[in-house]
Amino acid sequence: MAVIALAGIIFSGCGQSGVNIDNAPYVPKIVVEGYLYCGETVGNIRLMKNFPIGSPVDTSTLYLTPSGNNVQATINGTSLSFDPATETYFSKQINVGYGQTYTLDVYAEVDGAKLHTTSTTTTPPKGFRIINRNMGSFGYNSPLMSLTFLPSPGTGFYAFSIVPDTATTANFIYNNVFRNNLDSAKVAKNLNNFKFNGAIESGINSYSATAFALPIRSDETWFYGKYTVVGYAGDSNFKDYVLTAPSVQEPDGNFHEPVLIFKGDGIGVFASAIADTATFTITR
Amino acid sequence: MRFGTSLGKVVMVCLVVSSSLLAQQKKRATVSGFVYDKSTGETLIGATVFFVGTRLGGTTNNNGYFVISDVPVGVDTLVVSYLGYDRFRESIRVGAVGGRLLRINLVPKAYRIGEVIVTADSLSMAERAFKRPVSTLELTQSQVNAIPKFIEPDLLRALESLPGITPISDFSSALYVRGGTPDQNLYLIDGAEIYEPEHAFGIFSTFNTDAIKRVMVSKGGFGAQYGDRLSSVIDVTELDGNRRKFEANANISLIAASATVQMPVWSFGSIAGSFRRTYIDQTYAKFIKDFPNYYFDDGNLTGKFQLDDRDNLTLNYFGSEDNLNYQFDKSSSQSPILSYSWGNNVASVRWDHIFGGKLLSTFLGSYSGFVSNFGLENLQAFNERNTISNYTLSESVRYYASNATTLRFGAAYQNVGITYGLSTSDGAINFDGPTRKYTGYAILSWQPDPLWDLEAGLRFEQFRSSATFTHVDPRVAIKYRLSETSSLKIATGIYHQYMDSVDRLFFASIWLPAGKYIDNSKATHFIFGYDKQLGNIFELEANAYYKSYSNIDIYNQNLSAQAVPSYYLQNGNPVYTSDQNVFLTGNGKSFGLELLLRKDEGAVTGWVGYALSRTEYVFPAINQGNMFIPRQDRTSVVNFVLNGDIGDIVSGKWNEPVRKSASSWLLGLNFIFTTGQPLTVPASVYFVNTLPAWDNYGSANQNLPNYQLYPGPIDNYRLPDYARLDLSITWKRDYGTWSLAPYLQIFNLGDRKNVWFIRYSSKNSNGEIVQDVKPVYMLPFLPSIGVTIKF
Repeated sequence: MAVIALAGIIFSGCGQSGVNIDNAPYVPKIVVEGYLYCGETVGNIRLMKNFPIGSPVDTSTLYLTPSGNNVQATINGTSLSFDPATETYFSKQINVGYGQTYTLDVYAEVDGAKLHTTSTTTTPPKGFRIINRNMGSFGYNSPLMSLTFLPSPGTGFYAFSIVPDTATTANFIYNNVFRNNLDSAKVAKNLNNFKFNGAIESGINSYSATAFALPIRSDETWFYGKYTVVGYAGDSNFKDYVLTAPSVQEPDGNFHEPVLIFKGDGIGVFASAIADTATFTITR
Repeated sequence: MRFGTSLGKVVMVCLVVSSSLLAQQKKRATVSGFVYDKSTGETLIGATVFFVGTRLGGTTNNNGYFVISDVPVGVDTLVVSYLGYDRFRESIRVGAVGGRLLRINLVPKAYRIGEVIVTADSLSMAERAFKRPVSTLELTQSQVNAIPKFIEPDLLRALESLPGITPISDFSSALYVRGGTPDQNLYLIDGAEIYEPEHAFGIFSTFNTDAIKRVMVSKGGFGAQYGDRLSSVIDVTELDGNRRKFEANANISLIAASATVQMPVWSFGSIAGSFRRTYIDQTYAKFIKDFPNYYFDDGNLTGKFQLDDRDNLTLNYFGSEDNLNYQFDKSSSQSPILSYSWGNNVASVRWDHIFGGKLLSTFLGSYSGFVSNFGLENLQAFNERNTISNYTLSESVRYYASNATTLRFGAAYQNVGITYGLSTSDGAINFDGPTRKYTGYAILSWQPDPLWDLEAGLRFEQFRSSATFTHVDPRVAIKYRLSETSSLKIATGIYHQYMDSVDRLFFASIWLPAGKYIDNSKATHFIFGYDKQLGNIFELEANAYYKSYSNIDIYNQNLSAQAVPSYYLQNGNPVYTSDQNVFLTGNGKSFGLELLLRKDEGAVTGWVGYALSRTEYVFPAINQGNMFIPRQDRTSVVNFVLNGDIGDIVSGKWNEPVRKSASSWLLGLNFIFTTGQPLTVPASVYFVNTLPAWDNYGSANQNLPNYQLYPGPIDNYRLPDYARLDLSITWKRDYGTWSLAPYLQIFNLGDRKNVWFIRYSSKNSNGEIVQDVKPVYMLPFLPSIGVTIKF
């Protein structure tokens, strides 16, 4: 008996354990990508579905449409129209104001399930603007590249998209300070990762009378040529999405829920912002 | 008149005689004293002292002190017994010893190269089990060291071999006790609280097992003398020191060397000191290019002095230090350098005084400090500093009112300061949390008859930080003898905790006090225990428990979006000084059943344990407010520990007494199986750009936005089950005045690939989001050698 028990112990103390997480339960959701910009009408709102991991993404069913999914979408009670060309929802009747509250309400059928979600955003107050919209031309890794902006009082979150107008293997900065062993094939493979960069200022003093300086760092510029910087003074929904949705994985591989401000069956982002644009050029 | 005179005399004589008889019948005395190890002069904790043929008796406390009240005067036979020692049996004249303290020396029963081996004694196992509080285990130094180890002997890893106590991973010595988190464990070293009982990265605990005299572990239902933790107490008592002669031992392993020295101080005291240091910074780091420059050391020094018959003074210092310096490219002076230092310093003064024999007073003054510094140089400004300092003054009194009644009461004042500072180029966190805590407790222990043992306690706590919390917590424990060999135990109590920690992979936890933004946590314990002696060999212990939690905290993984600045630097960047939103708060419960079959006697000893448990949390901000299983939940845990002489094991002489032998081969086995760790994994993907202007980030060809992963139900997946078998073989050779014991330790004998965590990645592969999961395994088959020398 003791020998059998010992053998069992030794046996169970051996071997290799695999990890298979393919069977995580999928729950259909209404996915929202919607931003309201102060001073503009409502547009470019995407309603989509989510997909199980490991299944092909059928782009023909990705976007939720009034005809295919019985979508009914409103903002503050005003119905949104659907543009089949861009597969987005819009309303030219709603002019987005500063410091106003808007509630998105969506009904849709996804994968046979009748879903409903709502989300509310309050737009930032007036104030945000980029001061040096034409930042100028600089050599690579110049310490002088800096964008200055004035905040909106009460809005502490600012996000900046930094994207080159042209991003190819031909204008890639191979002699960069971070990864100078890259060849064109590696660059091509990860082109979008080099192309799309951004910077965040969170929690700053929005009542400061002086302008903020945002240095453009060399790890945000991987290509020679002209760049467009789009700055956003984001509301709390914007902040919660940007700071939590891409960071759901912990160092030990465990995942946690992001902060997505939806009631019901929605995920994604419904946020508001004041947007402004600047440009600069990296010269060879 | 004559008649009258005679009658008067008779009456007088009768009165005198009867009153004398009555006086003799009523005259009782108190017997008290200390019990020592004769070979070293160390006091023995938990020795049983009783008068033959009576139920009059007691056990020695942490100072080796006992009191037996209400002993009828006259000559009686006193018996003192302790595991592994010859029984002391002597007639004493009760009454004649009134007021005088007995000093009883027990002779170690058997030696194996000077080490005490557990053997049978005259006290039944059932009696010993009955005397233990519910859900409490005690381990001696030799029991801790006998468990196969991971390179270095480690107290906390030894505790992982007990049912109800589970590890997080091979790389951490932090403990989950009955579903509680590591910050719910109270660690005491000679009465002083310690907050970070691990060396850097958590692989080894800071307790040097050579310096340990005894460890008491309460897995729940602990008495009113303990507080500020929800789950367990790990109370470590360090060696007093040998009061008879100089004694030393040294141990050398692959990564560390340690030495312990004990010696008498004149005729009235002793000193014990130990020191351990790793030397991978002087070996591996010199020859392996990318090996970090890292070492840790720890040590303690204890002095115990008997000032007179009734006064003992104990001075204790314990310290540990870790240093890491890692240069990413050692050939470049511009290369980033990661530096990390971490350490504990604990010092205490204890004064024990005996008033009249029935009243024992213990005064304790202690300091416990922890500091960690983490920095990055040559990359960007990044510095983190975390400190804890605890000053405690406490007084505890034990009054032996009668043989059936003992009253304990005490009070303590604690001043705990916590600071956390983080400075980066984007802002700073500066948290300073001074706190004060006032506690008082009273415990009444009463044995109305030999079958019952009742204990009722009340604990008062007031915690002051940015808010004030005041509680009075009742605690009750009842023990009942079902028969000569079995007993029932029940305990319940309310527990509050005023400090929570943010646990981090590899880095020191950050402790935060309850206050304006963090509520204090509460737990209620219900424990039902059953002990049964099986023959004269085995002891079966069964415990069922239910533990409810209120206002427990989990670190808020989305803190970056929810932190609230307190003020701003001149450049407008934020400074955070508040702990607002650091934790998510919720409720929960743990319940389970534990079985432990122990064999403490005979040539081969060990135990088999099984724990069945479940922990459930409900947090409004997690899992949409639905119940989830937290990551520390382990449904089933199996433990098996076996120690003994290889010859005895093979020949089946498991129950025979230990033989004294100049040379012996010893085998140690340690097996653990646990259900896999719960994990949250992604269940679906959705396509939303991280920033609005990043259109076509995900796939320019398909006009797809960037995709994000959305997790499935919280902790719905479990990593594969964990199993590990460790083995140790030691050859012990006694050369009379000194001994030698080279050993081979094999960690994970079966080289089982236990999953530590997963590396998860995904990519858009031609319109299909494909995930790639790579398990990261824990420690493989890992042999290590070393040698222990004693003289």
